[in-house]
Amino acid sequence: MKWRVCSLGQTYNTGNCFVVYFDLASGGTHLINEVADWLLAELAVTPLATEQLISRFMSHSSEITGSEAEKLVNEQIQALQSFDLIEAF
Amino acid sequence: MPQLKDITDTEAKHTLTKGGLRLKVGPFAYCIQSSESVVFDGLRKLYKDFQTLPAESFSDYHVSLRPADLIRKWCKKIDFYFDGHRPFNRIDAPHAYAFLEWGMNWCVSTSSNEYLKLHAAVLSKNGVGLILPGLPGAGKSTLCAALCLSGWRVLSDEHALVPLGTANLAPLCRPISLKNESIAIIKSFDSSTVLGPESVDTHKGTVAHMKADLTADSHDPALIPARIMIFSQYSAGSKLVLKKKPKTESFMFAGLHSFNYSLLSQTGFETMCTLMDEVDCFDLTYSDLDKALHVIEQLQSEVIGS
Repeated sequence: MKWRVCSLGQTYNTGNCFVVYFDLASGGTHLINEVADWLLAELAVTPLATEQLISRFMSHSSEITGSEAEKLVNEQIQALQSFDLIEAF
Repeated sequence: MPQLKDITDTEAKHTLTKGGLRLKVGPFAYCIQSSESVVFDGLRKLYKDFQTLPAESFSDYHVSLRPADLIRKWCKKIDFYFDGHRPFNRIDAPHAYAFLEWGMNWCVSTSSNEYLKLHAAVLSKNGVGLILPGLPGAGKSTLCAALCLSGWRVLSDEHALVPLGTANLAPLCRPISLKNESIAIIKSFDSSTVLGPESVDTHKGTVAHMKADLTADSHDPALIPARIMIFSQYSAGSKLVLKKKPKTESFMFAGLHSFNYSLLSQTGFETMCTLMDEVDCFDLTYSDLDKALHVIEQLQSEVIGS
């Protein structure tokens, strides 16, 4: 099973912990964290499986453990799915 | 064109009762028609420095307050009409003035989508635009009135009008709506405050409107750049706390309390991005009005100095 973005979006990012994400298809605006923003950026390039996302996420941070990365990524996948910003296929 | 104060009582009353009194209010023209004496008194007092417009000239909003029929007239009940339609429930005639002001707000809230409209009080000083978004009960009108009486120019008590794609504010100066305890607070803040008719026992409690066009440039239509956004909250007995608010959080709050952010969709998002880039955002909790004014004054000075 892979994840893909439901539509494209625009962001307002001032470099703090949160990003405003505007979903171009639904017109919805969401406050998401940096991990979710990173996930959307990755999935906008190509659909990926959860394991691939965790692996890529860990490659960006040497300080994070595998279980921490798994927890973070899974939490944000769920959040993005609940916003209808990503979908499984 | 003459200001309302340049017209005799007789002529103003005749115009208001018959064809409708046309007033230039910020970027809009209102045509107001009513034979209620409380409406005449309120307009005469609070809009005396507003420019009138010629009879039959174009008006953005045609509003009237009148009884629907003879029975309603006898019962002292009146209706608010907008372009001949009656969007609200019937009200008691003594509340007519407050209802006119609310109706005039409603006109802007439900149209004018050439602006991103935030629910906020808006003021300026030395060219610095200040936006005070607020939930009902946060005390934004009281703070707005106190700032007005302290030399700030009121751009609006209700609507931040941001032309699309900009971080500017379009002035829409109208009387400030004060409710319940705020009326006495502002009267004691400045005994020379000019208040219109008091409406008792409305659905919002006791309401009175305050004349807000107190500066020489109150009716200048030039846009003002927005520079400060303060999310103020009156909290009885609290110490003053001012802290920076993240722009992303401010974005969400302002969008949530916008009249048309969602309606404008991508244009609304992009305009909000432009606006947020230009404003410094703060949370302000206060109980002492003077201290709150002092800290806002300081912020304004810092922007000027930066």
